[in-house]
Amino acid sequence: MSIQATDDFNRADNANLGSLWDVLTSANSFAVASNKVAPTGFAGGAFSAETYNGVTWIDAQYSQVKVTTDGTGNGFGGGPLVRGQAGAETAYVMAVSHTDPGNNEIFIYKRVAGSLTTLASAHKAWTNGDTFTLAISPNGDIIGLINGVAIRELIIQDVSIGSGSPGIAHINQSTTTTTLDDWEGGIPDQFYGSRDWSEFPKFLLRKDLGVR
Amino acid sequence: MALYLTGAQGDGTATNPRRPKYVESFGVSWSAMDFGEAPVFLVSAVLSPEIEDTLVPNSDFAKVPVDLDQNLTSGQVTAWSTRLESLGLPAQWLDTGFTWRQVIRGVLAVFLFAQRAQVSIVQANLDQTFSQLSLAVRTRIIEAATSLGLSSAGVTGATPVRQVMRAIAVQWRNPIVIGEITL
Repeated sequence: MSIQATDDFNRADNANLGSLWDVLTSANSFAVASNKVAPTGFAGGAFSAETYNGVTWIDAQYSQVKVTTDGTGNGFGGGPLVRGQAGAETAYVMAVSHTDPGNNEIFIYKRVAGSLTTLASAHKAWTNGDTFTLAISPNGDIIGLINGVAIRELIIQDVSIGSGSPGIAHINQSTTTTTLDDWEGGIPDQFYGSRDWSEFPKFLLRKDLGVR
Repeated sequence: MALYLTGAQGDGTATNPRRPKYVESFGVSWSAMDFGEAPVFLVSAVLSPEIEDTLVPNSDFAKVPVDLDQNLTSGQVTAWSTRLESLGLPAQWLDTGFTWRQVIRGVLAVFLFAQRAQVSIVQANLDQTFSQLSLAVRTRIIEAATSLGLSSAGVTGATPVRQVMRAIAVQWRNPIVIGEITL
């Protein structure tokens, strides 16, 4: 991964994330609280999303962030987003929560003009503070990783959203509390390696410490 | 891990996202690709034989043979041509000379194009001509093809919709990956 931007959110509490972050149109914002960020949309199903504008992003990009939540299952939660479009409620989103028997904890969605479609889900236990990464290649190969490890069920291809910026998102379950911290955005390695992007998913599966 | 063709459910809201039917109720991890705005998903998942037996009777659920490198039988050509065409997916090109990998790749290439087009060209009469589509839809189809680097040069007003979709989709050159299955 080639890091292009980071934000540890270590600054005074504020109602917004500052000038380097854009709230997606029609979405709720995030606020800085205790050197972390938290969504501000609290109605059931509220969508909060912001993208980082301090870099001119290419279509190949990744976003990663540490997640802490007391939420459980059923497709709600927070995490990284890629190809977010500030002028529309459009992005690929990874939403993470904890175990709820019978439900999966990790979801990859596409949100296109406010409409949400589930692209993948995985049943994986994890610990608060773990790092979640969402990466996308120019071809629309989308991969979800936990602590740098690619998850085989979170490999998908979708070309609905052709461009945008990385950032963070949260799909709210009104009774839960979620914070995100230590965000990082960049370009997946394979772009710089001049390798064939068609091998991108397999490359990550081999390269990133194995498969869970 | 196997591939399944399923219907869709959900209205696209955060509390009820659009998603494939059936698989989530079994608590298994899965990956899926959708046919643009049409209510069709191709799902990669590990379902037990007992679960498969429960789901197969549904008209909007079908299992793709696990061995993707075997050729279709004549019976499978008939059954899957009918199934795919009923979903708005051109399938008159299927024959016993194709492997399942080639067939599913052809289907997913149409999915990828439909995702970008984001218009209701699907579930239309596949035999209608391109000129019978609305101007907005025709424009969007051409724009989508161009944005993906695919040529629409051979498309004329007299070209049937099934031929338009197939002609654009066959140009897809990159491997298509779903849940670690490469097509």
